[in-house]
Order: sequence, then structure tokens, then C-alpha cells
Amino acid sequence: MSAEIKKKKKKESRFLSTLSRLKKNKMAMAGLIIVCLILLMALFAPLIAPYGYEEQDLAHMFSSPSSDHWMGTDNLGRDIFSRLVYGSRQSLKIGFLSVLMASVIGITLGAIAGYYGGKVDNILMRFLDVFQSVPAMLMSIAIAATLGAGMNNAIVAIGIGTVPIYARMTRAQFLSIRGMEYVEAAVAINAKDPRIIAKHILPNALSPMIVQMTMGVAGAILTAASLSFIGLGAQPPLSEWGAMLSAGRSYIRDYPHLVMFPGITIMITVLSLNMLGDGLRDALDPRLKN
Amino acid sequence: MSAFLEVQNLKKYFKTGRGTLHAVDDVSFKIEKGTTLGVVGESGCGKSTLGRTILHLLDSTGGKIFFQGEDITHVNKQKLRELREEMQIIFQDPFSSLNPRMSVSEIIKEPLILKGGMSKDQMDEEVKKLMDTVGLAERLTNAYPHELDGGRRQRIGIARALALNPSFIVCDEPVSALDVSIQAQILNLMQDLQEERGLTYIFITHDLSVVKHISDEICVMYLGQLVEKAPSEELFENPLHPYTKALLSAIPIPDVHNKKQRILLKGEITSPIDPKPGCRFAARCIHATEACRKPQALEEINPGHFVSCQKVRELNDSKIHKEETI
Repeated sequence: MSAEIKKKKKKESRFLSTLSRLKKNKMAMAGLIIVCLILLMALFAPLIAPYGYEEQDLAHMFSSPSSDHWMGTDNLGRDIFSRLVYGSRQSLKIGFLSVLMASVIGITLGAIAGYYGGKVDNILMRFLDVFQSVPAMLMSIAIAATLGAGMNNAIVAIGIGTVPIYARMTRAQFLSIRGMEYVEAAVAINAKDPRIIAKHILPNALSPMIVQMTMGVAGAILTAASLSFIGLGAQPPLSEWGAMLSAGRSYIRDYPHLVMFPGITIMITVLSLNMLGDGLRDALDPRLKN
Repeated sequence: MSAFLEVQNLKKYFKTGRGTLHAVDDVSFKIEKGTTLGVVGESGCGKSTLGRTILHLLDSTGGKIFFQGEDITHVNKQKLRELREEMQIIFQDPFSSLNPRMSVSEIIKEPLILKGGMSKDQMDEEVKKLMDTVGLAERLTNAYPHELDGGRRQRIGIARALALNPSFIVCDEPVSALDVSIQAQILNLMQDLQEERGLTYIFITHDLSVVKHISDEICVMYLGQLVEKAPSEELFENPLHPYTKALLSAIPIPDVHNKKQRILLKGEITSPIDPKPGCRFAARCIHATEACRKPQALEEINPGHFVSCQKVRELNDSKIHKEETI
């Protein structure tokens, strides 16, 4: 019984020690707080937003920020603040889910290619070469167009389009770590391939991936904006940050607030994710423990 | 009675873009239980490849390996698992041989987890025992490798190798990366373990003083081939192969009055890729003649003392002759 408690404590302490290292990093904590706030905003959107995302006030089109409309209204008289709040649901969904998809597929492919090498590696990498020879944007558009317009298809399109980045990165990491003596030692004590990959190589290969993933979320939000722009992403009147940005683009001279606020929102989200990712990478590395 | 470990004509070739690299070429030896075979040679002569091939970390190209009288050259997965519990390896670099993301206890525990058949408490108990055996303080249980110095890290590596209770360990330059003072500690630990557990070692090193200290028998390798094999004392007192002589003459003697004649080798080490038949040392050997271009064989010159050099008798006679005339 006591041993069980002790073990639990140990596991917990590992999580806590990572957290305490993260806490010491002020930038990372700031990032974490902002990310949490944005998540809360998405969660409680109907309570926060003063208007509906499709509610039009045709008498007040293009109105500048005021006490009625904190961030003004757009070309159809919709409240920009409300649309941003509701839009966070779509944007975060696209950002996180597409990165999740890309990294799961990419890391798996990269791990197989990097660990086994030889023919498997060659076939997978040539396949990715072909894949990458088409610009990522064009690829996403092609996939989204094939699958049809809509949020979920946009997520799949962006996810698949960014797989090669993760696959290549994982492969490169695996290639360098596979030659380390601790991997050989694991073979010598009868560890099987899945264990060696999951326990010995992957944890040591993950650092650059974490940073890539946080930046990937930002990239995905922006790609989603482009997809929305050509009508393949979020379908109007559904609001989405990128879509708002591109929709407001035509009025940028006369009514800059149409693009300014979505732009600032995207920037803050991306920045806070990057800060969090950076801190997370350091906190997860026991070598930097102090 | 067969030897504990016997290697017959072991070959390990690597295919490279420029040809076949003969890393280990036709190496044969025997080790008796509880003894240490030292393997010396310069970098790139195939010492480590030899050790790894015996452990099946690399597949052999040719030849045979016998372990406790059993042919283990080609074994199935099940047998290989059993073998690896008997045969372990200690690595050279204690910084790259330990996973930086695992704590000391996790590293030592892993072989036990993989072997199975133990409860968690038993494993923790075993880890504690192992740490005690190799001289690691208990407070280091949850430490990470990077927090420890080279000597302690190497002790972790030794504990991991001992966890499966092997009877045979390949030590691949286990002390080369350590300070001299720590080298002695680790060597003593390894010798104590050998006495307590009746371990058999292959001790790979390029450090001649270390190999003299620990080995019962010594093999000298040059470019993948065994050039000389003799009991430790005999080799240091009476080196016969020209390469061994040059190697031993490079040991510094801490005495200002003792000006030893160093044999300086000329020329570069020849390429191990598609080597020509014949003595591979011939290109740098001062005694080389046309006869050296023919394949050489290990010959027993003195009891237990094998040399692979056609001219060895002749050279030895002339040496004796010289001493008489002086």
C-alpha cells in the first residue's frame, strides 16, 4: 500500500516538476494564460458576445469602434467583436485539429522511415518528395476542392498538406538518434522496436517538434483564412478569423478596423502559442532542470 | 571440454559506396570462463565491430561463434533473447550510452521490465541492490544522467549490463572517456565484479596500460585482422609481431634516464576497403619483403603465443643473434 502511494507520488512529482519549471519561465506562463483566456472565450462565446455572429445592423454598416460596437461593424453591419469571439471556435478548431492530424501522421511516417531506413525510408521519402513538389497552399486548395467546401474538409486539407514537414523533421531526428549508444544498449537488453521508438528515440526527438507544432497552429489558422477567402473554408455567415481578415481586405483603405482587429487577434494567439511552445520544450527537457 | 566462447574465422564486411570494407577479417580466438581477453589496436581496426558482432548487434558476414559449446552464429529470435540475457555490453561513452530522458533507476530497471516475471517491488529492490553493487548512492535513484560525472554514469552503464545477470560482457573501451583517477576505480570495480560473479570479459581498448592491468590474454588487431595473441605477461615481455613491437614502444616510461628506442611507423594506415591479400601491415613494416604479400596465418611460436607474420622466426633469430654479439 505504502509503495503504491510512493509510486503515485513519484509520477505526480514528475508532472509537477515539469510544471514548476514551466512556472519559472515568465514568457511561457504569459503565453499559457493568454491561450487559456482564448480557450475560455471560445467555450463561453454566447455569454461573452454582445450580439450574434450573423446579426446585422444595416443602419450601422462600417461604423467605427464605439460603445455600442466595441470594435465597430463590418460591411454587412455585423458586430466585429462578437464575430471575433464566435470565430475563435472555428479558428482554434482548425488550428489544433489540423496540427494534431498532421503531426500524428507525420511523426508516424517519419519515425518508420528514420528508424528502419533502407527501402522503406526511400519509398516514403520519394512519396513525400512528390507531395512536396506541389506548394502546400495549392495542395490544401486541391484537397479542399476535391472534398468539398466546409470546415471539416478544410481541417483535413490543411492537415494533409503539412504532413511532410513533420515527417521530414521526425525522420532527421530519428536518423541522428538511432546511432546513439543508448539505442544500441536498448537492443542489447532485448527491447523491441516499438519500445525503442516510443521510449528511447521519440522523447529525445520531440523538442523541435513541439516548437514546430505551436507554430503550425498559427500557420494553420492563416491557411484556413486563405481557404475561406476562396470559399473553401468556413462557410458564411459562420465567422472565422482568417475569413474576416480576407473579407475586410477590400475595405482596408477606408475602414482599417475591419482587418485590424482580426489581425491583432490572430497575432496575439500565435505569439502566445509560440511562447508557450518554447517554454514547454525547455520544461520537458530534464537536462535543463534547475 | 569446449571453451566458454569461441570465435572461428569471424568476418564482418560492410558494403560501402567505394567497395567492401573489411572491418573484421578472419578472426579466431577462444576465451575460458572467468578470464579476460584484451583486444587492442588503433582506432578503426575493427575492435568494436568485433565485439558487437559477437553480441549479434551486427550480423556476421562469415565464420562461426560458439558460446558454451553451442553454435550461436545464426539463431532465431527466441534464442537471441535468451542469449542477450547471458551476453551484455558496456559502452565507451557514458554520455551517449544513457538515455538523457530516463532517470538512473529507470535505466537500470529497464532490462528487468523487459525480462519480466518480477513484481514492481521486486524490481525496485533489485535496482537498489544493483546500485549498491556498482557503488552508486541510493540518493541518486531519481537523478538524471546529465547530473552525474563520467565515472558515476559509467557505473550506471555497468549496473544496466549486470541487471540481467549475464555471464559474459563485452567492454567496449569502458574507461577511455574517463579521467585517469576514475579509470582506476571503474577498472577495480570491474575486476571485483569478475571475481564475485565469475564473469568473462572481452575488454576492447586502445590503452595499453589498461589492457595490461586487466587482461589474462591479449589480442592485437590491425585493420580487421588478428596479428598477435598471447598471454598478457608474455606479450608485454616478448612482443613478436613488428606492429606489436611498435605499439608497445609507444608506451611512455616515466624515467628521464631511460631513453627508450621508439619505433616510429611511417606512412598512413592502409584502407580497409577491398584490401589486398597478404600482410596488411606490410606497407608500413620496416621488415617487409615480397613474401609478405602472400596471405599470412596465425602460427604458434611459443606455447600460447600466436603470431601472424611469416618473418617472425627470422626476425626473432636475428634479434637473439644481435644480443649475443653485443
